[in-house]
Amino acid sequence: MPKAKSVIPITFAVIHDDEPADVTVSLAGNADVTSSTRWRVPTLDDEAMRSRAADAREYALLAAKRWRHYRDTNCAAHSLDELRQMIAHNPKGEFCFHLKVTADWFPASLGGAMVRRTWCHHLMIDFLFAHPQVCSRVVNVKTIGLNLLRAICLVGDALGCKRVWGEATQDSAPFYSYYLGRTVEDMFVMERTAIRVFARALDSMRRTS
Amino acid sequence: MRKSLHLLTPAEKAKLMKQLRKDAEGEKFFSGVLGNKNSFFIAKPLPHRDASSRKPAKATI
Repeated sequence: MPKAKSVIPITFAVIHDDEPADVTVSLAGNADVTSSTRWRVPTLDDEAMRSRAADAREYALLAAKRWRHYRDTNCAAHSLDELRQMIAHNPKGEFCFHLKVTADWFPASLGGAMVRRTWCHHLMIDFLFAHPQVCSRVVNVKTIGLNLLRAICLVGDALGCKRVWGEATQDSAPFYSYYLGRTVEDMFVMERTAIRVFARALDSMRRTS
Repeated sequence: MRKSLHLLTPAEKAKLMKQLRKDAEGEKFFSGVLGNKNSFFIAKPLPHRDASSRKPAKATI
């Protein structure tokens, strides 16, 4: 397996209120995952937006539940180095990591993703979600979903994973279709070339320290 | 690689915003979540109970 570079955390710009604003994607720790279980659905008149916010909260809770399972079985990685060590120690093991998006202008994380490294060295996206205030547009931030997907590819590329995949639902298939540039039904698969394209797209936006 | 936002010239900032807006063109397709909460792949682990807390089985014929 190629040696993983220090690719995460990564700081880059997104659009916040029509201005560029920096956010950082990093691997989450237990406290980060736990804090996402305290997210609340904002009070909104718009039923569609309230429903989106409720979905985001539910996904965050489900991700935290799965996280606890992997944490309690010593299969959750808190850093890229730890993930590399776990894989080196048990190449056929299944491990989990959780990504978070943070910014110094927002008090909670802006979103997260729970990802599994499977026994055959692929990455599978279990849950990816924006904060309820982001997906209901109370806070006007764009490209959290796209950049979390890119960050997963960045990790996958650094680890030498040959596939990133996941289930696509009726709601999420158009997202994958748009950004992958092809028809996606109930499953999406990104092979090494696409992983590299997505990883480089994010890496090229990296802010110098 | 990119400089800190406060160090960008107006031209660099305009270029960055152009790129970010291009990225955001597909934002309408992102509902806020990806994944499937009903997925078979993320089925919950079975509840586990210690043998010590288990009641003795009833005798049946």
